[in-house]
Amino acid sequence: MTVSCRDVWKVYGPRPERIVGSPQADLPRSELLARTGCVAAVRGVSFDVAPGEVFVVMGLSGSGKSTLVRMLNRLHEPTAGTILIDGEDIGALDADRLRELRRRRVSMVFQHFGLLPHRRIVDNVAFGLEIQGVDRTERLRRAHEVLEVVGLEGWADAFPEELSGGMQQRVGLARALATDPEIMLFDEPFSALDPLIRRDMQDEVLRLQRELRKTMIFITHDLMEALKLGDRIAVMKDGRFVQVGTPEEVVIRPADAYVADFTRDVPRSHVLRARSVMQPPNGAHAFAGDVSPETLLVDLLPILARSEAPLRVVEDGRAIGVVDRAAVLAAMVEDAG
Amino acid sequence: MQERLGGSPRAAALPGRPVAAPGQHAWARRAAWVLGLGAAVALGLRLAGGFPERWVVDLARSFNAFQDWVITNQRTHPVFRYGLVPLKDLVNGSFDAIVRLLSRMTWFGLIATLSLISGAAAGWRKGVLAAVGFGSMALLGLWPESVETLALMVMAVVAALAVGIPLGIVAGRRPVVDRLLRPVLDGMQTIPAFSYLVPLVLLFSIGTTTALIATIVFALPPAIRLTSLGVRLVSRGAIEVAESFGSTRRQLLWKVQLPLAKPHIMLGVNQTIMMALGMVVIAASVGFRGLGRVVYNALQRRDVGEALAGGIAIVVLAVVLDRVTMGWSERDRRQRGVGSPRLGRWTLSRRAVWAAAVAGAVLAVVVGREVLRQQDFPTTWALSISEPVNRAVAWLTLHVSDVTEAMTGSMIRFGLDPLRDLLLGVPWWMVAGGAALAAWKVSRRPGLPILAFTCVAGVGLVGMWEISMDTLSQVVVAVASSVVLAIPIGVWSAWDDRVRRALRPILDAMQTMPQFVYLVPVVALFGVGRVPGVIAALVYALPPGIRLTDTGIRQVPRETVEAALAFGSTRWQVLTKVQLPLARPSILLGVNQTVMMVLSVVIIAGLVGGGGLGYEVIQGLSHDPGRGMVAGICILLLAIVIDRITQMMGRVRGAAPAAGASV
Ligand SMILES: Nc1ncnc2c1ncn2[C@@H]1O[C@H](COP(=O)(O)OP(=O)(O)O)[C@@H](O)[C@H]1O
Ligand SMILES: [Mg+2]
Repeated sequence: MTVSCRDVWKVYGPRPERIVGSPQADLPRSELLARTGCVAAVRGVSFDVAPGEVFVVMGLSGSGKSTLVRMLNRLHEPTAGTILIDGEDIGALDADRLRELRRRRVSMVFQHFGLLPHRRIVDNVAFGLEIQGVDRTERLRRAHEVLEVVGLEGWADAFPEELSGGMQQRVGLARALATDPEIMLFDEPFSALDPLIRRDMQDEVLRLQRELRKTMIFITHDLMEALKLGDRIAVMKDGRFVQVGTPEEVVIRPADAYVADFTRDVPRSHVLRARSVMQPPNGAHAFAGDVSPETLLVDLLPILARSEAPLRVVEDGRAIGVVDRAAVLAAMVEDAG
Repeated sequence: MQERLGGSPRAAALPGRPVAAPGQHAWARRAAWVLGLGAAVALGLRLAGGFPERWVVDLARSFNAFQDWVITNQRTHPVFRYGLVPLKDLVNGSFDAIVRLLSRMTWFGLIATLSLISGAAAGWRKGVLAAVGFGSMALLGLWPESVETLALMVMAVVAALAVGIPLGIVAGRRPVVDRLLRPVLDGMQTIPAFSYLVPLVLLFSIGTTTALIATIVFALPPAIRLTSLGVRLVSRGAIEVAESFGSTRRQLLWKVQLPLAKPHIMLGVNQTIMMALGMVVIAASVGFRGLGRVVYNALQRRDVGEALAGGIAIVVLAVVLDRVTMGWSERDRRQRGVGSPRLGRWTLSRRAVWAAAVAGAVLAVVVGREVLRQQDFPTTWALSISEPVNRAVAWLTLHVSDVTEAMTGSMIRFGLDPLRDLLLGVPWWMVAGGAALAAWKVSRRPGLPILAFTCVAGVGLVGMWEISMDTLSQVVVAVASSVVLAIPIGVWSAWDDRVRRALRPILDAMQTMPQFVYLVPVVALFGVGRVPGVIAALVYALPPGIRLTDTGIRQVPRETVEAALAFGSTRWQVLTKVQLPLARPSILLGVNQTVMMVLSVVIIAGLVGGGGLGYEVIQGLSHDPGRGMVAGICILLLAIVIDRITQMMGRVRGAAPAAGASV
């Protein structure tokens, strides 16, 4: 596992340790604050993230997402619990080793971009390398490369204030990529952007993820964004994970009323994939086409609408099932029921 | 900002207030207060006034004894032999060296160098401004004095920044240090410029060292404060970014905090320079030469023409220094938007501009030394304005003296004298009690009243009761007049953008001028005495009153005003029932600043016959430092009381308007 959290807590306030694991921790937030002066931002969270996985943490504002993600590089110190990165307990790192971790292995993209206004774009992108002590020509070369990756090569000499919000966040992305980390942390990176630009940026992240295969921990409060990007989604509420699962699981089998409330309006066709509605190969031989088991139903619909024939689901060159119109429709109407 | 200052709870409380019963109550209470105070004063006037002579402690003798001890031991005591004396020698030596260097550059070379540096740093317009400014200082026939003033400024500013900026950085990064420094800086900024000089004279006697140290200390607070503020204002986000990429603390400082704090630091540099100039000219009273000396001597001789020439040179210097440093800072901030490649091939890089400026400066120095061969500006080229000015003043005196004399007379008869007689007519404890009462009313805590009583009593204890009450009466009259003038002007300016635009350059100029200079024109018009001091003080203190009234009214949310208009309020009702009450915190802040500015000028007015504590300090600086020291302490005590009370006025009343009504 690239990242493992075991029973991680973060309590803000005086003598925070006493809250951890005590019955008080289960009090509602305002009551806890009134009684102890503490805020339990993250309460006993555990999860594992596999290499190359996109792990999305979703929750409303104030649910502790930012706090959680900041504990992964110890911008905030956990009050209790263990965080392992590549099996190494980062809580035990001394200041130098922690800096090394931040410089080379974990980088972060911020909600409000966090560009430094006094530096040109290229110097912003090179910031992490500069902190590492990479010499000037080398870091600029690398920064130009990364700028090309995010499609901003023409803006290297501009200053942040000259760029639109979407472009600024591309710079933020480029800056995080420039140090070539294995783990990238995203704290609501697209929340401040307009919906259309947000979609572009999400596609950009998906593209980069296909090419670079980073381990990503992605914070958002937007369910559609979570469903689109996440290999797995953790739904967070008042500092706890209420459900961890694939997008499909979260939508189809919400763990409680809170999650159900969240996902009620999500069209199932946007989360269900061919794999979960296919039937075993049944001897039919006329197909409207081949699809991968990961295809969303919403993408099957146009093909099935055009033809009476079913679709063949193919994985690694092997037919593993068929999907027909009836199965898709049946899966979608379960929505209403 | 608007929302916060407008304060919804306050806005919400407004409609509720004019309920009849409490209103009448308040009116009755106010009447009771007035009657009570009147009765107390009437009673007080029958008792023995003033401070009992036998309680007075003679501190002056101890201070003088201390100075004598310093003088006798100067050569022998290790603290002096290895500390103060070498320091003095170092200061004098450096000062002479700088003056010599600047003089050897010749007037032409120096003016060209300063203008080119200004131009390279702040744009060619500022370069031209500097050339015209320094040129006119030379034309006024004051070049050697200007060089002396510049030399001391350079030393003081460099030292103040060398101490202030690092200290500010530490304070900005460590809240503990900031908390420790804050009261010290508050204290330093409460002390009027003059009071800094006396204790230094005790140690160093008069001379360049005293002037330099006083200037450094006086100019230090803004450098520390603004640096610290700039560092603290760096957003949490920017720091998090640096940390998330693994910055060390040093990298964080150099790559993030300092660059982002730079505009504030530059503002600090600007203010340090302006404060230093203000002090350098006052340092004439401890024997420093330069432009201040010109004005000082001329004022002593009542030679208005000469004083005006010196005053103009100081103002010109102030304006040039201010505009150039501000322009430099602004340009520096804008520079990032103007990447050199995009301005076409004619753009010179910054480095090239600087290289050209340096080359030009060297050339100018060579021309000055080898071609013109004039070290000082030739006296034959200088214009003497003192003669014609004195003639104009004589004419003016003849023609407006009726008016000015009437003003002077009525201000003394209806303002200064009755107030002073009142303050001296009642027993001391009544004055101190009055201060304590005022302190109680504004703070509602015992601390401030005790402080106020102690400070006022202290003034009597050290034996300066009458003199201090004289100064106090001048302060009160000047503050009252200044506020009475400033508020209507501020309101007008808030109502009418044209007025605001017209006022702006005037107020800017007024705020750039060192306080010392204000004495010159009032002496021309009003002669010498208490009144010119009061008038100089009240004029000097006008800008903050006007500006803060204006800001306060403009910050009233538009909707609140519209609501009042929707109920059919007249303009006057909008002003008195909505705008002024809501602008009150801002106006009271203006009053606080007015009071402090008035105090510092009233003290300096000792130079032009204002009497009071200022006169004692000036006399003390040259003849009787012990007594000067005691007067300095009295100034400090008065300043503390006045400052704390007026500051509280803004804070407590502004924060909790209901508190007074409900008690
Ligand atoms: N430095 C802090 N001190 C005290 N409370 C904090 C601090 N940071 C966050 N909190 C509190 O912790 C809770 C979770 O905050 P955060 O992690 O920012 O939530 P999210 O990112 O999900 O909106 C909030 O109630 C917030 O007020
Ligand atoms: Mg957040």
